Amino acid sequence: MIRKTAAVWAGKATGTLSRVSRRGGGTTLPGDVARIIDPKILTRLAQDLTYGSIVVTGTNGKTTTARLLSWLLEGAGHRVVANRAGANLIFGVTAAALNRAGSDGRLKADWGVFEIDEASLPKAVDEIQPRATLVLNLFRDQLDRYGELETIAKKIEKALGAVPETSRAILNADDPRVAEIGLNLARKPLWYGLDDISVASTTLPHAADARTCPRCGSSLIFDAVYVGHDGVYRCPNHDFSRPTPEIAATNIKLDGFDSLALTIDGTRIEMPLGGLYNCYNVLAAYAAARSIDLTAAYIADRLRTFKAAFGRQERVEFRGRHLILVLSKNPAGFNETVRTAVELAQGKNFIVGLNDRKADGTDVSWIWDVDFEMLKGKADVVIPAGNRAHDLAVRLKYAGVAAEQPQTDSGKALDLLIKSTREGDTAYLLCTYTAMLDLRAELVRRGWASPYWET
Amino acid sequence: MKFTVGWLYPDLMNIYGDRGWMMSMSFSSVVARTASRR
Repeated sequence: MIRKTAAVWAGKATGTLSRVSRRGGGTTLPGDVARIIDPKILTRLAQDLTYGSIVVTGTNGKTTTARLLSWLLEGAGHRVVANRAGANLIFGVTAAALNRAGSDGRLKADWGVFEIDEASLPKAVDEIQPRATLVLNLFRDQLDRYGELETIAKKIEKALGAVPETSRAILNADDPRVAEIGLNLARKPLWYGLDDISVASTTLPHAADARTCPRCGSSLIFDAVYVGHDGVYRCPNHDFSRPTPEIAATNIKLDGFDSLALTIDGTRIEMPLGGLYNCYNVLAAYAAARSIDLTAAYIADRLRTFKAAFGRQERVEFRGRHLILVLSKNPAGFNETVRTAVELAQGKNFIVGLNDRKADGTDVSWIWDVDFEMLKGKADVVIPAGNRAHDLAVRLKYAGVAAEQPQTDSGKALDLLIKSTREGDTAYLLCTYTAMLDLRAELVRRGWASPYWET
Repeated sequence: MKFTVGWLYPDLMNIYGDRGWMMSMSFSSVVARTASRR
């Protein structure tokens, strides 16, 4: 107990120093410090939770889904601890728990809602022993850091095989790789998926990964394609097919980045988030919330007033322009955000930000898998930004997009946007993680946005 | 001069950047051909 309390105090002091010195939000470093003092600190803190934890993993949508879940639980009167700033390695989760711990070293919360980096899931599950684990999707992402999809899938399968018997896996049936994980588990997972062909395509994007049957290697037949390789699929040899979802979304209506509506179990849900990819996030959060007995009527009512996390369709007013920041960090994610901006929101003005720092992935060749061709002839202003803005400019040139001069300085990118647009215009800032942080930091410096740890 | 570039199993074996190589080679060959005609 003394070791635990010492670790909590050291972690909290580190967090305070980090914020006071403005070196960051104290979202990771306190976890490092506390774990040196007590390597089992996260396990001990998780045991303090009244009801337990829900962990969320997958390539895209972790932050939004975790935030949706926290929103639902808090609205029901629960105290929730969550790594809201998106620091999703084990240190970030530890730091979030430390932040909510009291001076006696005890974590004062009812639920933990933690988004977990895919590669960190085995360790996180081992330490947290969650009550439910959500796996959203598996797309190629940062191959230099994670390796191939199969490598990640095996790690997740191993982690889910080691959760307590009382723990429930909640899985996306529409993702062939996630489905294969779930079908191999000893305990049946709770499956969710979309069921509305009016929003589906019939062809896979070229960057889709899970194209083949994991059992016999034949090319899967896709009867519907929703996002990337997520859809309704089957093996021509009947070796493998999409599991039937127990929680399904129908009658989907999309209105750009402004709103979406869908029906689940006869309950109509309408909320201020945009894009088909967010239908998956809402459905995942709904499935998890129902699994812990929140009612459908309450979920629908609460979601009407949801506010997205920083950089996830976050809206900022900047010198008369309406800026919408949309994190776009891998081919599948970027394809969806570009598609939503161009086709559903009729967007005309863009900053596309690309950095190559550790959190973005140091290999930026993935931009060639993004269908920037969608911007051709549709966008009026496209500004390549970030420390790899010139790479992006080359990619846009090959896509036939008439882009502005690349801007490696965030301030200059924003200045060029102001110069190239008029008051009242809307601009979409589609950026990788640290490119988005850089643009946000500039907006904060100019007094137009709050620091991300305050959102 | 005529040269042929083969891209084997692009739907199954494509990894980051493969598409970029193909696009840049196609683009470069068009530029080279245009330049040689001048």
